[in-house]
Amino acid sequence: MTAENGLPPADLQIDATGLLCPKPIIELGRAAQRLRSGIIELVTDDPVARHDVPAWCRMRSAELLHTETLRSGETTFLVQLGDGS
Amino acid sequence: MSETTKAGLSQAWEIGWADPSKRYPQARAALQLLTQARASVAAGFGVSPGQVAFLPGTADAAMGLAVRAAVAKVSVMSGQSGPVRVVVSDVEELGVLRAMDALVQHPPQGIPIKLERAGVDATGQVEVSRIVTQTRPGPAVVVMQSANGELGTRQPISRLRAALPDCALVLDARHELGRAPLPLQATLTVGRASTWGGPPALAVLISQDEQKLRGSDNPTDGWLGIEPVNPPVPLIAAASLALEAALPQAEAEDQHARKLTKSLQDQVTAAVSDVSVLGHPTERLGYIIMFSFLYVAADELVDQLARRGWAVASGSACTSDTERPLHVLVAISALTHGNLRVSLPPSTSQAQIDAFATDLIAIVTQIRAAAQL
Repeated sequence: MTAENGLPPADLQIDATGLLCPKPIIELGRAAQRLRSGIIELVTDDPVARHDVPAWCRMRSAELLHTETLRSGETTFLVQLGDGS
Repeated sequence: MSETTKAGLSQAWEIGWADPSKRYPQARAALQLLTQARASVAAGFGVSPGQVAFLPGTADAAMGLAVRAAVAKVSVMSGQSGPVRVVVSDVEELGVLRAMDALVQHPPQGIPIKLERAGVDATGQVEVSRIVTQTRPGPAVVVMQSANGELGTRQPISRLRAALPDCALVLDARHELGRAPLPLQATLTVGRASTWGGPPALAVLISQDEQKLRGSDNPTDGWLGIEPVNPPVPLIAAASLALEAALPQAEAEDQHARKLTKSLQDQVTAAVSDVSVLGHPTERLGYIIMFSFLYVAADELVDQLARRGWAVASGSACTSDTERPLHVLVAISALTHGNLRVSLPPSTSQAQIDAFATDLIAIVTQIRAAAQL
């Protein structure tokens, strides 16, 4: 992610491609523990992540800034951690 | 199946094996058994025998037949040849949703169907006012479960009925009928015998009136025009015996199960972080509860519980063997992983719940520790 598309840059990037539910969410949870605040970019090709990342954000008071699905089937999520994350 | 059902079933095979539509003495005996069973089931539900039909097979299949019959009926009663609106919630059983798609493709008597899907809130409940809008202009059939089998959430059926006095309401009560107190206010109510401890593969249909439902494309002319002329009499007799045993205890069992699921919820949520209980907090079935554990793979959870002797169903989408609950979890925007649906059999004890809670808490803690979370 760059400033070119109007989105803030990520503080941490996670490549979870090839991992299936719930592993991408576990990776997101671990990254959130390490980072505590800031923005995480998660790339995954697990189709259920489209449901689970927004659900995780709601549970953790995080904000889903951006979702983009590429033609290859991979989805990029940009998550702003909240106080409770 | 309960012991009563097993004993009743074996006796019913002796007496009721013949085709009740034939004239020979054994057939007459089968017809007599069928008539008694129908009268008993009707009395149990406080309706007349003419309102009760038995349908062999799954509740999904029975729902499909009931909706076809309802569509044909409201179309005839409207006196028009226009489309019939069929409103169905997003959290119906997958088999019912598939039956509705099939209905659109192969409508009864060529009646055009306009299918409307009704969304639900985060607890899994429909919004009555939105459904009212979706039924207009009629004629319309509303297809709704009384309670969701994954979440336990009960739908606001009384309010729905009051708001839609002119619509046909086809109620899927497979998780409640015969097991919990349920007012029969739908045009057609479908239940299944296994829910009250009866045999599998038998559905029951209760009609609000005794008007024939014939007029659909059902070729048989059996009871209500929807029951086959040769229904499985031994299964029906066993179902009626099981219902006689279950109904007097239904209310107390419901209260008991409600206390136990609450106790399980309290024990688990006190000991484990990042767990939510899905579904409606109060408008719910007593015997079903669904947990959602963050960062836990449900298939692993189910396997480990099975190793300790517990048979529970996963509700998660990521178990490879079933896509069943995914649409329900998506409809309420829940996590699709780490979901555990617990359904209590009748006569579960507090000691069993305590033992289950202890095992469940230990397993979740262990799985999370292994993932370093």
